[in-house]
Amino acid sequence: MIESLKEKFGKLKKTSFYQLLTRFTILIILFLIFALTTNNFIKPSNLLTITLQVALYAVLACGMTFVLIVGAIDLSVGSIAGLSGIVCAILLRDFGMTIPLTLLISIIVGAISGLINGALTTYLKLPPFIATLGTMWMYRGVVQLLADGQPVTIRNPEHPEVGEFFKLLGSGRIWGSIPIAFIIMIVLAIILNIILNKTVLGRNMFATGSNTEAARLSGINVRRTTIYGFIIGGIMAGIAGILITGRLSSGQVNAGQGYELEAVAACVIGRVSLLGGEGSIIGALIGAFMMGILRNGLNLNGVGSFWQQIVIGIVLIIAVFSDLYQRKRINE
Amino acid sequence: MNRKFFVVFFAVVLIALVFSACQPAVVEPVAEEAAPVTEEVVEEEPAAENKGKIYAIFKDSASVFFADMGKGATKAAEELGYELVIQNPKSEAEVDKQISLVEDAIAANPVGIVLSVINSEALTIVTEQVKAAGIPLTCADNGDSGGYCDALYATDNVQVGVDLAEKAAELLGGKGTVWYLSPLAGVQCVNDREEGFRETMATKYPDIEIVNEEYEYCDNDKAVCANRTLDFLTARNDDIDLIVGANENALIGVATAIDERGLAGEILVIGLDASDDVIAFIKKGVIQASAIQNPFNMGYMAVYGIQEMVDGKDLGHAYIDSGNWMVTAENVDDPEIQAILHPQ
Repeated sequence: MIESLKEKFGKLKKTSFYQLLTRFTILIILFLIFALTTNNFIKPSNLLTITLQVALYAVLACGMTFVLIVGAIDLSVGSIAGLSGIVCAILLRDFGMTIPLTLLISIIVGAISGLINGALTTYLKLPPFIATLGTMWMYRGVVQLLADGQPVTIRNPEHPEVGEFFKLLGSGRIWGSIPIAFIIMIVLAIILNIILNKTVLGRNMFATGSNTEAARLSGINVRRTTIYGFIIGGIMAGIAGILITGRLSSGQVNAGQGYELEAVAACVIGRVSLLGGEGSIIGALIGAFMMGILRNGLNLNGVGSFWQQIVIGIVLIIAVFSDLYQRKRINE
Repeated sequence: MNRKFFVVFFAVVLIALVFSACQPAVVEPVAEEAAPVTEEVVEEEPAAENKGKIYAIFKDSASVFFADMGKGATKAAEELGYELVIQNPKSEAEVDKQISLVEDAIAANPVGIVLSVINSEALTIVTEQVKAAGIPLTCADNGDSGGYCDALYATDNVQVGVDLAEKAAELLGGKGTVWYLSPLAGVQCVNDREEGFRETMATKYPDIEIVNEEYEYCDNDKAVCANRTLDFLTARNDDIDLIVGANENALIGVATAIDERGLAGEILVIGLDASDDVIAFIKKGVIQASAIQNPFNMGYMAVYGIQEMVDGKDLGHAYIDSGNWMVTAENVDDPEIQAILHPQ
C-alpha cells in the first residue's frame, strides 16, 4: 500500500515539474514582451518594486496552496488578513503591547481563524466553499466591530520605533533595494516547501487531497491533516495582514478585501489543482509573480484599469484550460 | 456532487434565511453595531419620547467620512428624540446593495430617511418609491438625478474639483504636469470632482498638463493605489510635478508610494478627505494640501431637515452647501479646522 502511494507521488512529481516548466517559460516570455515594449520594465528598481508589490499576494497564495492541496478551498483568507491586521494595530495602539507579543498574537489569530474553517469543514462536514464563504463574512464583520468602522493607526508619537518597525516590515528595503517583505516571502516559501515536500504531514496532505478514502484507509488522519492545511493557510493570511498594516501604518477595515480571489488565481495559474492532491509552493510563487508582472507591465504600458482586469481574466481562463487539457492528455 | 451535498447546502441556506428573518440587521455589520449605540442614546434622555425611527443610509461602512456623518446624524437624532438606524453597504461599489437597503427602509415605514446616494442615476428608482410612500427624504453628500430628495446637504463636489485645480495651479506656479488618480468608477461625487478639476485646468491653466486623458482607477484600495502609483512613477521615471488623489483611499495610496520612494516634497501631492493618516502625511510634508468637507454637519442638518418636514415645512428640494476647506501644514492645527476634523 505504501509502495504504491510512493510510486504515485513519484509519477506526480515528474509530471508537475514538466508542467511547471511550461508555466515558467510563459513567465519568461511575458518578461521578454514587457522588457521589449517599455524600457522601464527591465530596470532593477522596477523589478524590485514588483517584488514588493507581489510579496503580499504571494504569501497569501502559498498559504492557499496548502488548503487546495488538501482538497479544500478557503475564501476567507482576505478577511483573515484584515482581521490579523486590525488585531495587530489595536494591540499596539490600545494596549501598548510589545512588538514580539503583538506579532505572535496576530499570527495566532490567523491560525485560529484557519482552525475554525477547518473544524467547520471536517467536523460539521460543510463543503469548504460554503463554510469559508460564511466565515469570510463573519471575520470581516468582526474586523468592522473591532475597528468601529475606522482605520486604527499604529503611529505613536511616544513610541515612534513601533511605527518605524512595522513600516520597515511592510515597505522597508535592505541596502535600499531589496524589500524586506520579499525576503520574508522567500523565507516563508522555503519553510513551507520543506513542510510540503519533506515531512510526513506534507505527504499526508497530498494523499488526502488526491484520494481521501484511500488516504483514510492507509491510516492517515484525514481530519487532522485537513485542519492543518487550513491552519497554515490562516497563518499565512495573518502574516499578510501584518504586512498590509505595516505598509499603511494602520489597520484598515477593508484590508485584504478580494485578495482571496487573487490567491486562488495565482495558485491556479501556478498549477495548483483546484481538485486537490497536486501543487507546489514554486507554482504558487510563479502564479503570483505572473499576475504581478502582468499588472506592472500593463501599468507601465499605460493600459487602463478596465483592460487590465479583462487581460487578467483571460489569462486565468487560459491557465485553467491548459491545466485541464494537459491533465486529459496525461490520462490518455 | 451527491445528495448529501445538496441536503447540507439547502439546510445551510434555510438556516441562514431563518436567521436573517429574525434579525434583519445581521447582514449589515454597521447596522448591528450602530443599533445598540442609538438604543443607549435614546434611553439616556430622561424625557425621551421615542418619536419613531429615522433611517440613515450611507455609502460605505469603512469610511471615516461616513462615520463622521453618522456622528452628526446621531447627535441631531439624540437632540430631537428620534431613534436613528444607520446602515451601509460594505463599499461604494455596491450600488445595488444600497438600493436594497432603501427598499427595506421604505418597508419599515420610518419617520424619515436620510440618504447619501452612491450613484445619482441608479438610486432614482428607489428615491421615487420613497416619495411615493410619503416618507420625508433628505440627502447628504450626494442626491439623486430625479430630484426626489426634499433637500440636499452636500459639498459642491464640482466646486471641490475647481478648488483643487486652483490649489494645484498655485503650488505649481501655473505650469507643470499633473496625474489624477481616482479611486473607482461609478461614484457621482468622484466624477463631479474630476469634472471640476479637468474643466478648470482646460480653461484657466493651459500650461498645466494632465497626463492621463483616460480616467485612472485603483479599486478604492489603499495598497492597490500605492502599487499603481509606484508603477506610474516607474513608467515616467519620476517625471511628474503633482499628483491628485481623489479620495482618502487614493490619497493615502499616493502618499504611501511617494513616502516609500522618498520623494516627499519633490513630487507634490494634493487630494481629498482628511483622516488621521492623511493629517500625519501633511505634517510630514508628503501631502501638501487636502480638501476637507464637513460630513458631520451634513448628517446633522439632514436629520433636522426631516424634523422640519415633520413640522409641515416644505423644503422645496433645496440645496444647502455644507462647505469645504483646504487643509495644509500651515493651518492643520487651527481650532476651526480641528473642529471639523474631530467633530464631537
